[in-house]
Amino acid sequence: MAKNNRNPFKRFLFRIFRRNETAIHELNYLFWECTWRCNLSCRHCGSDCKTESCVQDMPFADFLNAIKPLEKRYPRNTTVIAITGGEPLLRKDLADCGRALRQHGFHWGIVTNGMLYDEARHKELLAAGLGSVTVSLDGLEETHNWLRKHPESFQRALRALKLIASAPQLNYDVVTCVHQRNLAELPALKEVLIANGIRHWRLFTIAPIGRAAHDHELQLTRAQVESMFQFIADTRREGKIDIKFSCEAYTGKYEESVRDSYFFCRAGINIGSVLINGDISACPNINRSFVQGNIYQDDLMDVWDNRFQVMRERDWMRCGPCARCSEYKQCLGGAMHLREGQGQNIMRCWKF
Amino acid sequence: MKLIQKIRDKKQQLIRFLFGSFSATALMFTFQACYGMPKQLPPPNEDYIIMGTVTDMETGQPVVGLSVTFPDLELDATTDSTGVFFTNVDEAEHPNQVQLLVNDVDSTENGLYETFDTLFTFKDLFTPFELQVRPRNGKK
Repeated sequence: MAKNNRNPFKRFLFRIFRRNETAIHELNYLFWECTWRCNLSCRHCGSDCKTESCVQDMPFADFLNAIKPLEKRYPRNTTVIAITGGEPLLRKDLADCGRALRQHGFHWGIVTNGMLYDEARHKELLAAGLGSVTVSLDGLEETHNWLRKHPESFQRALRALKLIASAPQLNYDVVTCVHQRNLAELPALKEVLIANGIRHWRLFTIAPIGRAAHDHELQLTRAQVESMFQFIADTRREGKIDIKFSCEAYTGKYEESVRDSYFFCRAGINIGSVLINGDISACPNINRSFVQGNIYQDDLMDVWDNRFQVMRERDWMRCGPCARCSEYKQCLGGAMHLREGQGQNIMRCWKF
Repeated sequence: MKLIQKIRDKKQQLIRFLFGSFSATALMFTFQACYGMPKQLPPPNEDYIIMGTVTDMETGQPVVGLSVTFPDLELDATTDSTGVFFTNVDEAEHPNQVQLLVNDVDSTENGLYETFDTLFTFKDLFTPFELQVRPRNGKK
């Protein structure tokens, strides 16, 4: 069993740090939801993407125009652009977009299912300045293919990961969405990753949003979540692979053993997004009722500077189960994407 | 009011600096969004991307397994099956021109090639270039 290793002094310092970062609220992580098209139809998709989306891809020129003021504001190029979708590799102009971002001083990366990431694309993107990649791998072959509903998705994701792991200039990680079917496979999956030279691994649970909201098999019980935390803590101690739990939830007594730093939902504090229709928000999986503006009507920096209070002043989150929680000051009401709207209770809590 | 705001800003930056200065808390700045990819370590200096292709001077075919080194920058890379190599250089650290060496360090699997020694000039951020290497006479 993991010991309850709460360190009150470190937690106190962390709260000062978090309050300060919230006050500064520097935008240094910006999602660009460049397409809603996807070449998979995963059971757990949070954005409910389709092969042929009825929404047009956003023209790159529109996005670039919106983010140009960031160059002036943050001249040290501290803002990284996370290109997401849908599946960003479906955009044939992805390398051109990336190259233009680098020429304007932005570092950039992609979040991909790896289906289209072959050697030619790998080189094309590296040459365009790709700096960071996240690839999904949700279990051993049979389980991954079941979740992704495609017979080749595991092999293709693994091909992508091998290419990515072989490029020393890339920051990368593998993300695994943990659910009822793959929980027991985690030790075997760890061995597969290590055997293929993959060294960075991040685990998630699946939020009950999008398609996953209606599939109970994708949700873990509290006991299962705790066993996942235990696996992460044990694997971190082992030191063979850099594994962590995502920043999706406060974990109580596991805070110091499942991540490198404490839970801190930076949505609207350091993280913003430009969504497919130009809406300005924080992480793309946050309920769209939290949209703060639109690049076609508003100035992105003006919206960032003068709105987003709902994410920077989170007292409204102290409702429902959070109102009575003794650890609220450490958690601050959990992650934004687990609220369906302002004043709504949190969908679930992983505090132990 | 402006003065108060200025003092407040300075205080926030000082707190940030203090946290950032302690290695134990530097990790707090290297976050990634829940569903995003890892953020590059700050400060993300502008990297110069060097991408090149090495081909056989006689056949025009790509050459795999050659060592490409930039001794002045202490950087090295190896050509892959399509003769391509990549490396990144911190923009602030490189001179305008550096020595570039291509050495055949593997076995005779892909033939033997003469060492290629040239000067590489930095132009703009993305300038792929091509090099041709000469096979060692009678040993290919």
